[in-house]
Amino acid sequence: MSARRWSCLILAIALAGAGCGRREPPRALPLFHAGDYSAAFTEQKRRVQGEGPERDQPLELMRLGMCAFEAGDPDAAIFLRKAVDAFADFSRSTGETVAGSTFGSEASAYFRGHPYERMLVLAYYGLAEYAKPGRAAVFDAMAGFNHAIREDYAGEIREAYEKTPEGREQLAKDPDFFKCDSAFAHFMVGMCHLRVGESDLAKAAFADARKQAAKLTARGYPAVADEFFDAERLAACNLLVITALGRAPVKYRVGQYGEFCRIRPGDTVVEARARVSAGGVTLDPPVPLEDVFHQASTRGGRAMDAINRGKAVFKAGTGEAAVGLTYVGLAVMSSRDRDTQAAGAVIAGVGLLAGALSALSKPDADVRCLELLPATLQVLPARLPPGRQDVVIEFIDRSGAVIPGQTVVLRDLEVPAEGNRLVYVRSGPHRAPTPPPPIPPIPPVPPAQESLPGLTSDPQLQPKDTP
Amino acid sequence: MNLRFLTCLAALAAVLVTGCGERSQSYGRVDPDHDDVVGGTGTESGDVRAMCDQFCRTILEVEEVAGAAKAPRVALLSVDNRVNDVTQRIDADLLLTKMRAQLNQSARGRLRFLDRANVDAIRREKEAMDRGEVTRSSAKALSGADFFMTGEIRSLSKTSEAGQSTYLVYAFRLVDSQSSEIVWEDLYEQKRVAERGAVYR
Repeated sequence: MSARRWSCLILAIALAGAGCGRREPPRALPLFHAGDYSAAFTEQKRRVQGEGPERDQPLELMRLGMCAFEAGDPDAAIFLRKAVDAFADFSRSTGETVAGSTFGSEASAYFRGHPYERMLVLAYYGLAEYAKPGRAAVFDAMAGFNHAIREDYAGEIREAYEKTPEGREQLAKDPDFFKCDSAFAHFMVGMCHLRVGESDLAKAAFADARKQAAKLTARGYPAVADEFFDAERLAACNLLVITALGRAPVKYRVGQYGEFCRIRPGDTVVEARARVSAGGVTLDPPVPLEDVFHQASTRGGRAMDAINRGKAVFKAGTGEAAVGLTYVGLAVMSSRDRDTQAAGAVIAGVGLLAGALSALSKPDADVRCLELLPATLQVLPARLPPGRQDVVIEFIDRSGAVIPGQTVVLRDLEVPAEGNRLVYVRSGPHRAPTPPPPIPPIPPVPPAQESLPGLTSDPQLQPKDTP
Repeated sequence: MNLRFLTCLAALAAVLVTGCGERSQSYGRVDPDHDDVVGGTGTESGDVRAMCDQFCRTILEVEEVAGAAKAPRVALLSVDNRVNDVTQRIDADLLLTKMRAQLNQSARGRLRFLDRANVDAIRREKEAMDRGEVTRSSAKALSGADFFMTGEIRSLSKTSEAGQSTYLVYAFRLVDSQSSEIVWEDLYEQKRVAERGAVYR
């Protein structure tokens, strides 16, 4: 075959290979960040329904769930649950072998996300269920928050720490170092227990939340008063405002070949806190209970980091060998002796082969990430006079000024006398959200027989041998 | 370009293109008593069937049912699904519905279930009969429940980088609607594990 034909063949392989699985970035992302959540939801639904590589399916479903939640879609919990089912589906290992091999990229593996991404998707699922009335929904919400807590547990790092004196010292200082440090998830578990009348379990969950909130204080957040976590006070609250501020952390590559995944805070984090007022009165400031960057950056290493490091060493080694062998081979080939020339050609050939192997190895880390998470979650439980009132949520920057264009006014919001009203607002340019309706209190179980008037009871029912 | 080269090129392109994202698919009916190939640590159809078989068998052996002079009437209450793993959360009503249907089949009248889900429609129909708008074959009062059937599902889940395990306990009970006594209770337990590949750790 001529050189031109070989060139054609190589070009065809390159084009076909490049075409495999490449996909445009989701159009929903700019819409979402512009605050048009409904359009982002529609766009993302279209994308999920279309053909796409299976390996990205969990990420696309996570994005869909987040868009549905922010758009206030009544089926948001279902979409978020689908995302959870997708990333937790252990039967799927698409691309895992390839990703772990020298010549495969980590990004070719089925996406499961980092623990902080999984944890927050579960927490949002919990919130979507929490907004619904009824006992069953509370248990669904509780499952979401408890699952989130478990997803954030780093047992394997604990095992690694137990093997070294320094690690044991760290563990002695803080035995809960590897447990979930999400104050938000613990807090919401407590709120769920309160809704079904389990005050002792609620107190235990609030105690955990208080412990984790103290860690946030150590990171520079304002201290949270102990009264904030008082179960009796929280049980009396009829309004729960949750504000989501800023943008999600961003993954990026470092290292000679981008073999390490690192995480930095999200872009344009100007919102420092939220200010809530009801009926013209400013309420207590919402309390930060979740710092997503902190969640994302404190996990420690991953098994895949070591694999990528190995690939990088291979790439560097074969690359250097390629240069050396090709140089030597070409030098030897310049000899006048034909046998020496042949030997030089073989050496140069091996060098070229090493170069090809180096070029083909892919140590680059997977930086696919869920961009739709906030930077922090802040919570304000309040007891307001029942009835309709205007609730205003403003976002404040670090200098204390109100950020223009982000204020949300909820006119004539009905605050129930009993039960709960959940208001979730995200910072950024957006239209005022429509909060879910008030959540009525849950009656004790089992329901009284008298609740169905006109029922009869059969006197002949008693078993024959029962006294 | 000669024909052989073009054939090679076409074959190569076909192999590469068909390799993009295609998965072999097969469909078919499988035995619901056996685990399927889909896997996971959740409740399988085999568990539902075994559980309902066990519960229906033991409930009919209870003195309050087996020895009752007249068939006791049972109303279903919702099941508290306290499984703390989102992926393991089975539709609890599925279990109640299957048990009701199975008991209606196998109890041969020794238990009667009340349809509380449609009580509003039943009441409307009854009122229409009372007004004479529709005919009635015999006058009957709306039946009260002698027992409530309810249950609870709880779980113990562990997650590590190696994988996850889930232990599930299904506890169902029959509660006397007057005295609140539990006249029957039975358990079904299951534990499943799933491993996680190295890439996902």
